[in-house]
Amino acid sequence: MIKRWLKPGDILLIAMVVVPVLLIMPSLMQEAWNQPSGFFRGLARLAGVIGLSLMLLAAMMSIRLPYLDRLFGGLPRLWSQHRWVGFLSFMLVMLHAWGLSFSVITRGMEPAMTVLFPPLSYWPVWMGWLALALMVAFLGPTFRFAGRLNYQKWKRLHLLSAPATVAALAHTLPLATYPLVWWFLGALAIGAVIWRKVLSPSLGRFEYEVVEVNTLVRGVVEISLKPRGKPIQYEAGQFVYLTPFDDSLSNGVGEEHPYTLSSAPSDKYLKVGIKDLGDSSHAIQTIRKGSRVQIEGPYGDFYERHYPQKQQLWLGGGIGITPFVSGARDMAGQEKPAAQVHLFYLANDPSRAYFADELKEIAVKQPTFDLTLHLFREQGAMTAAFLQEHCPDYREREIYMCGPAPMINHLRALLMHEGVPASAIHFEVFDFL
Amino acid sequence: MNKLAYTTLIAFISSILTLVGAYWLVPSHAQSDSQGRIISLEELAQHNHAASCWKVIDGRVYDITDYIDEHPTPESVLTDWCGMESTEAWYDKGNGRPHSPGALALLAQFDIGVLAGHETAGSTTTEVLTQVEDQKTAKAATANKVSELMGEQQEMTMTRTAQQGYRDGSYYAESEPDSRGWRSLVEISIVNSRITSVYYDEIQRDDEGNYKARKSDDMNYAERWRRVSQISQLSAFRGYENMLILTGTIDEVDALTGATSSFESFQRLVREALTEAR
Ligand SMILES: Cc1cc2nc3c(=O)[nH]c(=O)nc-3n(C[C@H](O)[C@H](O)[C@H](O)COP(=O)(O)OP(=O)(O)OC[C@H]3O[C@@H](n4cnc5c(N)ncnc54)[C@H](O)[C@@H]3O)c2cc1C
Repeated sequence: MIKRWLKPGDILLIAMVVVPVLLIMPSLMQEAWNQPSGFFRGLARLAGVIGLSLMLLAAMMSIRLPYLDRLFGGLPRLWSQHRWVGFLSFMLVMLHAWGLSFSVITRGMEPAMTVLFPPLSYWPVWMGWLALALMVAFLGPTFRFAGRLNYQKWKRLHLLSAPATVAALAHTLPLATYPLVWWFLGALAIGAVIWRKVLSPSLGRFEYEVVEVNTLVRGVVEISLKPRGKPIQYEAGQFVYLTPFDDSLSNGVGEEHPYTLSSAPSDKYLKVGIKDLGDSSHAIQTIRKGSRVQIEGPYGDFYERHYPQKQQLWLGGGIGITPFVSGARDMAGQEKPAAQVHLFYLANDPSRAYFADELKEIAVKQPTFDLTLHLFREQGAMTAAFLQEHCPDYREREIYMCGPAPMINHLRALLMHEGVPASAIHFEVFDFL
Repeated sequence: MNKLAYTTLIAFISSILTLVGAYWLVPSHAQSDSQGRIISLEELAQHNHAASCWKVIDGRVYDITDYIDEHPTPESVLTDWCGMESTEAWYDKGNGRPHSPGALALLAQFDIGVLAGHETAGSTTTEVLTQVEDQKTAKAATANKVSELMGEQQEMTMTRTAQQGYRDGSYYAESEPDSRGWRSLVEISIVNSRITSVYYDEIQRDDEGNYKARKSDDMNYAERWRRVSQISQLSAFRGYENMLILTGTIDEVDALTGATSSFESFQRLVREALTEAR
């Protein structure tokens, strides 16, 4: 049961914070009990220790190693944890500076000021300030202090986290009681960033070539990719980062974006269905055959099973149908699929159900796969009655959903209301922020 | 999450600004807090143990009692210097490296006043430390550090010392054994005509003249001594050494109540040793 909420990787993450805390605890306790102002100073130092651990952890979590993310319940879950970790770190770092200063305010303003603003020669303290300033700079847009930023700009700005981490380490190492822990965690954190930003573009990516561009409807293409070298190994429902190198593209050349693989793992070519949702996904609609793309991945654990004995209910809408296309294509090739599957394909109208024909074919051939089309324009929002009518045992199934956020929110509320346990509902939204 | 992060940041900035604003607006900080209490050598010498440990660094007195437990080195490394001039130990942790700048910021919290005779040494920890930093870069000779950082009065004493014309070098004197076989000894180092370090002890030698024991090692002895006079040789010896360094002349060193016979030996031996330095 607990495995559903706590992934093996989480234990590792928790340990990375608990170990430094345990190391520092004896000295903090002593300080806290022995000194009048020690209690608050101890708390402030503890906040600093946890804040830095979390900051380093956030950096480590950005390593994005294929397959490894499944230990953490898949990359999307890891990203949202990364966001929480970064958030907590930011809060604690502020508490740290504030607490150190205000713990000595009883001794007068002089010490309170000295602690925060010592002469410049006490550079470690100023390094701490630098780290905090950089944090504000790259977290400001993340937490939308001043509105929403363009994704690519946000990503570039987020790189300031690297110097911030170095500054935070420079702040801590000279002052730390156990610098070795910080050297270790710091090395892992910086190593992770170096892999992600410096090494992975040349070492972590696979070379592919565009061999087919199939326009499904206006604004949606399915691209087929042939490996130029070694192909990647993946499972249905996983996604990759795709970097196009077609110079004729008006946007997004050399820029990586996440796309779900719509092909089955046994297919000769990789396939991705891409919807025009912004600058680069718009440009890629006209990508040329024969052009080079790089693929990094696979990531995610879309069809993760919490109840291996249960039948499955799939709910896909809009471009969120892609993981189910992959899953259905995978089932089409199998003699005896692991579970009975019922897919509800949610679309506005028949013209927007661009994968429906192929899915129907699979449903005809594969007895363990059922398909129901739900058209918003005709039937309105999805209801429990509709589900009940077409899939009477839907409450007993393990449920997978993918699609626009409003659809997911609506369905989740509906299913929970019908008594489906949260642990039986998996979902992915194609939007990290 | 977004809102909370934003709100906290604003709260953080406001409270720091409030602190800075209050600090600059309250006019008293410059004068009232500037010097702190003036602390005499005698008072300093009383806080020479782990339960109450004061130290002098660059003319300012710090009560580091609460910090002893936190300090990374074994306790004795720290407590050995209680009640004493510790500037040198501050600038050389024993490995030739000074304490970290961050540690200095910490130190400021323990500032309790200024050592008598150092009232002009600088008004606050911060300022003193800034000066120290400046001087550190300006003059490399660590041996000079103690005297350089002292206030005017100290400078005068030092000039007097210099005028007395000691030659640089180390000087040693040892007395004949007393009725119970104890010999006093003193070693004095002079750099740039100033007394920079002093060692005083009382030792025993065997018949062949080989070293057997010294009082500064004998905790039982210290206990017995403390029972009759509150002070023991442990701090008395250090006290005399420090006073000599700080004042620069044996004439200015006063006897500590309860340790007068050692004082007499000290006085005699210092005079003897320094005759060689003329
Ligand atoms: C796990 C996952 C699977 C996805 N699968 C598909 C798919 O199969 N088909 C499909 O059409 N789309 C998919 N997407 C969405 C696709 O990645 C974005 O639409 C695309 O990156 C938009 O880029 P843009 O420059 O066109 O738009 P922009 O205007 O730059 O961005 C539009 C929005 O897309 C998101 N986005 C942009 N770039 C990235 C990025 N590098 N990483 C994460 N999010 C980003 C941001 O939230 C942004 O607000 C998936 C997204 C995720 C996270």
